[in-house]
Amino acid sequence: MNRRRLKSLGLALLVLGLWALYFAICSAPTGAAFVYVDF
Amino acid sequence: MLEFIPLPGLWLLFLLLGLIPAGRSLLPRQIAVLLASLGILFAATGWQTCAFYTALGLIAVGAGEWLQRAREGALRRTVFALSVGGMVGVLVVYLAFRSYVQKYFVGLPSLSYLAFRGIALLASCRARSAGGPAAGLLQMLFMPASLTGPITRVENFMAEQRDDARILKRMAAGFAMLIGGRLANPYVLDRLAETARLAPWHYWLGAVANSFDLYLTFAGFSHLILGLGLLVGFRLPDNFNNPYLATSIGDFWRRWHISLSFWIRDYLYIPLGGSRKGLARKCLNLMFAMGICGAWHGLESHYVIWGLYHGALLSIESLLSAAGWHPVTRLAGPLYRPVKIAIVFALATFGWILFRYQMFDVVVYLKGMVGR
Repeated sequence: MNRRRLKSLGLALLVLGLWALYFAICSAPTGAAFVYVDF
Repeated sequence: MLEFIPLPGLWLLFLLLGLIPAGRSLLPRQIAVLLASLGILFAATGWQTCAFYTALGLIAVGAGEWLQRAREGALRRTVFALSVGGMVGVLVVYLAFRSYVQKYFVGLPSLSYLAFRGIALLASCRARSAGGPAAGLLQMLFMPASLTGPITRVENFMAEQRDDARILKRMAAGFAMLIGGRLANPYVLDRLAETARLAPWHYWLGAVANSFDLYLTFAGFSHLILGLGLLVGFRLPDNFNNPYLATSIGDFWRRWHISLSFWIRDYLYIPLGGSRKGLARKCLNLMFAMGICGAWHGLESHYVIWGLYHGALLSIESLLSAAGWHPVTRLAGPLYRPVKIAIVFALATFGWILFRYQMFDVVVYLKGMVGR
């Protein structure tokens, strides 16, 4: 596997990890900025 | 409605829409993305809001198409003025009666974005540079961007602009920022009037957390929306570029909510005369443009004062620059750059207190910061 493909694979895995982490810690409702200021 | 943006199903839908061939004509994909946008809006809000959005989109595109074809003359100028006036009218009514409007149009996304995108569309049509009704309707109704920007231009939807390599980068940046925003959020002070008196450092920490909460949450969603746009072949305008590394307030506004800053510059500040009519007029134009920028977020006094505060900062910067006076560069010597970054961050952070809290709470907050 060449360096470029390895980099893409790493980035894809990072995205999946961050996506999962987002749902783990961000899906509960809070007084987040966007709720407050109604963007 | 922002909670829809990270859902895997939405990304899968946009991935499939991006596979529709666009070699000969972009129209099939434009129509499919348009239908998907309306479908999302309908599912999230119901038929009233969906019908309202669609009607407003059709009226703007109808007026725009007529402006594209009509001969130059008094009638064309009148139709342009009336259609822009209509957009402004819708925005003002929405902002003035927001809570009432949102009771009837359940889940209505902010009309501020829709109105500014509509005016941008009409301006492109007046310049005869818009690209047909499908692109016009996408400019009005492309769903992810209707929620929280960026404020697109019709040119973004007129041709396929693939940049697949950036999709994953946008997603990584978006999710990382949203997580960062969520980590900062608990330190932001809320319900100030009900909160018991805290030590001053709570207010200072809260102010910094507020700056990062606003930035990371807003920029995080913007990155994800840009990623969704890229999935279907539309390169939407960048909205953030490390705003807290800005070395002046002017620089800050070239890095924060860039699509809004450029909209204000192109459709408000420059038509008012910009910097072409002398220094005093430039300062007046800056104050007016930034006041409108504040009011665009809401007609409550704290938004307007926040806008005027930034207008005043930009004016002071212009005056200092015109006088050739650069105090930070002179006093801080080789450290001038980090000192400037720190000063701009502090000024922006103070601004975010004005932005987030009602004026009564701002007073409570500032008293809390100095322990009174």
